[in-house]
Amino acid sequence: MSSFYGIELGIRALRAFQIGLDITGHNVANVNTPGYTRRRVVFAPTPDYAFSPRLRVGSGVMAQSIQRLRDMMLEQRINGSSADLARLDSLRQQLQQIESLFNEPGELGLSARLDALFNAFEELATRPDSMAARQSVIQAASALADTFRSLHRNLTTQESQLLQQAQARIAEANQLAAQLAQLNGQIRAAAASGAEPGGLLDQRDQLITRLSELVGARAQYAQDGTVLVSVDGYTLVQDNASFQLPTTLDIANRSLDNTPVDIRIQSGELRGLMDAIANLQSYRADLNTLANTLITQVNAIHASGYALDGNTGYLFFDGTDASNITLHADISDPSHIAAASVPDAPGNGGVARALADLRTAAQGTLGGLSIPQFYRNLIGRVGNDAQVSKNRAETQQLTVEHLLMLRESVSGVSLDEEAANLMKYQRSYQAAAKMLSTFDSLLEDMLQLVAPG
Amino acid sequence: MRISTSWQFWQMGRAIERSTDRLSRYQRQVATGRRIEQPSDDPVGSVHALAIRQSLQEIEQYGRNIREARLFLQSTEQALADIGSLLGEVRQLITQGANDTLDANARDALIQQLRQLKERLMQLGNQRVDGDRYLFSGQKLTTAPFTLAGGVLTYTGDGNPLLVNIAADRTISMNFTGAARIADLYNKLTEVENHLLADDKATLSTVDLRDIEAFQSEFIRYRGEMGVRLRELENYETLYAARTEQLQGNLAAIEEVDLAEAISQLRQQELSYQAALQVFTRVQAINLFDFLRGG
Repeated sequence: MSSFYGIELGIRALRAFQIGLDITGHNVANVNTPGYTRRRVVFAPTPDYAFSPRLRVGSGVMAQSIQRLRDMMLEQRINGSSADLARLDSLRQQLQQIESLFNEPGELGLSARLDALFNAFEELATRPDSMAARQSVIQAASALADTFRSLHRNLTTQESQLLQQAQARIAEANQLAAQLAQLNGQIRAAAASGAEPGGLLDQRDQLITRLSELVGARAQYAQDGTVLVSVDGYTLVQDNASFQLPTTLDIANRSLDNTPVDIRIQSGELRGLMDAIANLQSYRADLNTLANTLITQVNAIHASGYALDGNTGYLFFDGTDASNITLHADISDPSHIAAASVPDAPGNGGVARALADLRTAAQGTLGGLSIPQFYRNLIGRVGNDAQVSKNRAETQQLTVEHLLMLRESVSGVSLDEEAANLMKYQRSYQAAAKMLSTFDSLLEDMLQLVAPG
Repeated sequence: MRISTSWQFWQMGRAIERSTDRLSRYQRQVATGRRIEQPSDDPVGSVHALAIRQSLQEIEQYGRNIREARLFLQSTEQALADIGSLLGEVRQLITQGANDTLDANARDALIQQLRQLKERLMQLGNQRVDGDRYLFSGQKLTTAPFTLAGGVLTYTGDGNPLLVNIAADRTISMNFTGAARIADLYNKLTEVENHLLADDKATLSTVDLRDIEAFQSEFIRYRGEMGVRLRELENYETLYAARTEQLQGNLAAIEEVDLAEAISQLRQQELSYQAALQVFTRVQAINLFDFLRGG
């Protein structure tokens, strides 16, 4: 046993508590760092010193390791739930935007435009000889056609923006996968040397969370410290290698085209965008069916009627769907509107009346609904989809918040707790310093005994 | 449970955020008075509202149709009434013509009078309303219905109905489809004129008088028919006024905010917003570090 045994013991304690203070400081400093996991110093007694076989004395303390307080099971659940939330939240946002394109309820919406056209037909049935009534039919019909086209155009613009966003998500996921692979390599190297690379682990956990939010990726932790990340069985990251996600979207199947098997996207923002695109496409298909039915029905009735010039067979609408519906060149002259069911009867509004009756006529192509009913159903669906996605996103938000609270209660920094630790380590440090000075004064006493006066 | 500091702040932030969100929703409702701004605010309600709007639009159009039909029917009724009073004059003229004491001068005067009445009848028959729409042309509408050739009046209209929808399931004719009878009447008057010229008192007092009386009751009946249609228009108009009011009430109930309720909700949200802010400042004021003074 060395004479400096006590001093060494004191120094070891000072060093250990110094580390405790440093870690406390580190925690306090990172109280606002996103994704930071609080650290804790694990103290352990140093090996005993044997004075004799029967007398063993402890030799003090050491900071054995620095623990990152993280519950891996919880992390997996959070990543899964966040991916679902990301999906629902991005669907909610997109559907709200899509919904606003319809301008309903309002004077600029298709519903008001349809009402106006049918009213104009009705007016024409009452005043088939009136040029003013003909003009107002033309005006109402062209406003309706414009509304169809602009709605179609806006939906298509929105669709291409959504597709771009989906591509951006895939690109971001691929970039993150590459970063993750790199981190995997660094972490494995650090782990092999025995130290826990806390900062790198925090960074990697954040990347994994973001990847889950993007494409619903799942992580599996390997023994060597690396993590395997996959989407629907497709490996994105393994060890220090990353594999790019393909970029061809299959909206109907919510998957990415890949050989030999397509990759189904189950959650994440990408899935939310795909859901939104699918919804948008089905709304647009309904709109096209509606426009096509309107064009076909109006033209069939109109062509059977007689214009003021006595001719028959004039067409009213041109085009095939909502993208290209316009007034037909035949009726560029309002007197060519065929209001009469017989020739040379300017007071006959039979065909105009038949056109007005289209308002309530059940259409086979619209599943037995009338034109306005079919459109109202579409609006009901648009509104309902948006409302349901909003409610589901809000519910999921609560689930995720609950999990985040659980995580924070494990991994988050509490300033109160750190203040208490600070006091504890400070007092311990003071006590160890006191010990050191006590041993020092013992040594001094002894040196005075042996030294010449 | 262990509560971390950033969670505390985050949670407070979320609470305030939610509170602000609700607050602004009620503020918007009170400001705009509208409960539905987007279909998703109430999908069922907004579909219902669109259907009500369509009904209101339809009713408005039927209202315009009714006004149009009324103008035409009223003019027709007036023309028929004029023909009725013209027939009264003709009848009087015939009884005078059949009178034994009538001298030649007086008969000439009667003939002149009858010619004027014939002229007026033709004018009434070719009467127009609202620009160039002939009352009695039927669907030929814009061409004159009566033409005189060789002293004979011919009906050149088609006598077809001018139809108007006044309800989804009710279409009426706004014109008089028996206008060809006006030509018959004119030609009968020519006969009377001839009998006056010939001083055929026997025919005047029997056949002519009877025929004119028959025409009289016939045109009274026609006029009555127009009156019936006008009353139907009125009934529909009354019905529509009531339905419009009712539909607008329904629409308001769906789309508009109950102001009293919205304001009381707004008050409540303001309170809970203030509470959230106060809790926030209170919580962030307490921290163990505040109690660490010196070493």
